[in-house]
Amino acid sequence: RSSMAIYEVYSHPALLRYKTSICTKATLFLIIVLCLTYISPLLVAYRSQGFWTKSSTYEEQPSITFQYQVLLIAATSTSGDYVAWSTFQNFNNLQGGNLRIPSISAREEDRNQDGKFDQLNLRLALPLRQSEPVYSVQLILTFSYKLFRMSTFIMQSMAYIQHSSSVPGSQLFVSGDLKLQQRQPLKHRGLDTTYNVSVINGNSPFASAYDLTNIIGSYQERNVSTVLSNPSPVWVLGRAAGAPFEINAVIRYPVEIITYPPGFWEMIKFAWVQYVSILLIFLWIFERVKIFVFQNQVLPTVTVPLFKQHES
Amino acid sequence: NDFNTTAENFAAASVSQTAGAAPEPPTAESAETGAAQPTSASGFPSPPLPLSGSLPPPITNVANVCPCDLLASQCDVNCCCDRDCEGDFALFTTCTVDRLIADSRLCSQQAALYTINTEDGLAQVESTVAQEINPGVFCIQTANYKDGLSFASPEIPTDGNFDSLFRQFGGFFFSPADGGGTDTAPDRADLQAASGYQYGDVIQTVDGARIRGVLKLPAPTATSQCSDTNPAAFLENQVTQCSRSLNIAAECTKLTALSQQSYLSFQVLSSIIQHSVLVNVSVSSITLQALNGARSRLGSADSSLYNPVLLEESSVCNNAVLQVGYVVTYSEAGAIVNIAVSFVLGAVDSSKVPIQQKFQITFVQENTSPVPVSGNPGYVVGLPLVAGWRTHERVWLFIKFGKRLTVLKSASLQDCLETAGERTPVLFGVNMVSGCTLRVNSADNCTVVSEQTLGVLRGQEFPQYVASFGNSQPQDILDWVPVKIQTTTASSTSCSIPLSLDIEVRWTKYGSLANPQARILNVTASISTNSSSLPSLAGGEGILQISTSVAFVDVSAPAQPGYRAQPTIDAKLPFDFFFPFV
Repeated sequence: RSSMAIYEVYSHPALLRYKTSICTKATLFLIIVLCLTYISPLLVAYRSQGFWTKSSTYEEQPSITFQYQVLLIAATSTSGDYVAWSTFQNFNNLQGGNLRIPSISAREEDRNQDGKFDQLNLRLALPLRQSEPVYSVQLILTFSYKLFRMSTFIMQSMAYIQHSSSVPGSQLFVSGDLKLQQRQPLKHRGLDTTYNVSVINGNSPFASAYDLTNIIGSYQERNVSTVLSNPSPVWVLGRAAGAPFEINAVIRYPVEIITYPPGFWEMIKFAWVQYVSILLIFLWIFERVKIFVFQNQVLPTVTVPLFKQHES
Repeated sequence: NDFNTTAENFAAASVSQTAGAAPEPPTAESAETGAAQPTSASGFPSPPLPLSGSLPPPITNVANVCPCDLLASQCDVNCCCDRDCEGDFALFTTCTVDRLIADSRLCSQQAALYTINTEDGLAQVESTVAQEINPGVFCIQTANYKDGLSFASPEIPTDGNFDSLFRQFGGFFFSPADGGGTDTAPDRADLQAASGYQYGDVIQTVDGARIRGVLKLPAPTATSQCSDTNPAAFLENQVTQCSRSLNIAAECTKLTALSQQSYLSFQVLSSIIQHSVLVNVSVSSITLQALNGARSRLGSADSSLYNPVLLEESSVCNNAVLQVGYVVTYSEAGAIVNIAVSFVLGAVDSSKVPIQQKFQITFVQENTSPVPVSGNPGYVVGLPLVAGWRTHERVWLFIKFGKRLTVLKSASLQDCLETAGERTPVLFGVNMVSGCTLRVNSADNCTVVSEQTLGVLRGQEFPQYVASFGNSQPQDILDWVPVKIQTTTASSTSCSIPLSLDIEVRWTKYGSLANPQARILNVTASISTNSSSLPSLAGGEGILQISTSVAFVDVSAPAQPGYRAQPTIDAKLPFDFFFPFV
């Protein structure tokens, strides 16, 4: 052994070549391995579910604006007397002696100053005579609802507040979220104005247009709508003589999780990610198999010598 | 840029407050100053509109800002920066605003700090202005674009840009014009120049005093109470039901809604043009209803004789309007040719208040006699079954229209024998159950009770045939399905009373897959009688439950994919082609 230390000064992989003709077992083997390498990851990815992402979700705070449309019905006796008012002139014309004009103040707040309103504070004072105790309240507020992040989705929606009690009240306090209700996913792009129609047709002079059964019925037919969720109504008892019945409503506009079907490229992207990650494993395994088969000459091939003369 | 610093001061103050006291006033003030600030950036094309009030001088120094000072020249409690509070500090317990800075994002800035010292037992406010260092990594060392830290200065409204600003910022607000709308008259003018009514138009009327109005069809709005101002719409057949509460003694003769005169004392404009022909409302029939519900039809009598009157010491109101039915005949051009009204006038006592009124309007085209069908050709879900009877007037079987297959209607008075007249039609595709009770005594003659019950179950006329299609014609006898009646009797009991009538309608889908038509194949009415003796069935009270039910059974085979038969090779070889082998 030499006294001088020997070290590896450089290394490089050598390329081994195996040759065969077209119609041999080795060719067939190679074709089969090629198919197994590239097709099986596809099957594995597909069979393990979720290969094509058919629905996905995103978060967005909708830009909601109160449309300043109100429809109010309050029962003032247990035998069916009532007072009603709305911002629709035609509805008020139909009410005759039951019309009672309240005073309303409304304010929409943008708390985090991001340009989107975060809540609506509505205060409604309904003047009543002493002989008119309030047993129930039905209130419709309409909103303009817009989403922009994926598809531009515009609709006119509503919040329906209903509360009735066996004891006459002096105030109704409601605080809830205006939540989106989706029966079908929204589009991933484009403009969707399917439901950009008035909840209440204020131009109609006919009573049927203001029938709550019709309004709620046709609104609930919508595949995308809003609902006042978790309103936790507080019914305050004991109204003083001459004091109005008050409705205080706080309606929040929370961030929504919206379901949508991903577009073509998004679907392809996630499928590609899954496919390639499984493909890498299969490539490694079948590379080992091929090296074993050809190194040990399991299938007869012509081995090209490693240090071969350059062909002339 | 003094104003902007001020605004930031306020914002920061409201953020850094410990107690949440009054964040509103700073915003209000900054908005006011913002709107009034006359920046020179936007080079005026026209002079700004007159401003209301004068500008407050902008405050630059942090030490001079005090967002909690809300009472002018008076001390605000616990507001440590209020200069009016010099003598009142001893009463303070905390500082609502303890720290004022310009912008929390700046690395280094002036800060005004207010603290309360209670060393000698007396509270004293210490105010200091110090340079405050922001330890954050991403603080702003120098702002090279100062406007980026503040709200953009608003555009000043001028004569020139007012409209565009209004359009941009004037959104929704409580306004009768917004959504209230007058009516759809303007856009219909350019739609059609014709003078006739169109679908959905209100019908113009003129009353005795030559005052224009519209044809009213009372309808419930908001609650089920009648609203008398609901207009009727042209070509819209409607039935409305609403309740009306009244004080019989006081309002019987005064309430116009009870008087039939108020439903016919006007003339209808035949078309919407100004001087069109006036059509009188004619009375086609009057039906009188007694207090017990019995009705008698008068035909076209003189209607003025039947105004509401108080009877029997002011306890019964006779001739009150219970039902009003208008039949409007119109021409092809949309002009109203004729309008006829029929009334049901009834006696009302205190047990029937609030009364229910029913209003109906039907539009019929001139010179036509429409026959309603329940489908074309297959039945439509929700329409009544077409039933028929066999008569011997003609050689072929002729089946009368008009009568229906009906079942019992559950009434508030549950007695079967009392409410025998009221029945409800069987609607296609709607499964139903209804019933009533029958009080039996053991002494009752069994056969009488049995026959009575059978009559109650089947109604006055139980049909013999049901049309298999919604539009089956009477002369096509093959289109009619006979109603099979099965009676199951229990032989063990001596007295058998029918307890239930169960109608089973078997139907199938017919025709193409894309547009299947419902066709009735088979109708079975099975009447089942009691299987045990009456007393044990009726219980202690002696009350039997009689019920009718309707069930629709879809017997169509599910749609299955069909394939054409495999093509066969029809190549004929000469018979001796394989001769040596065969």
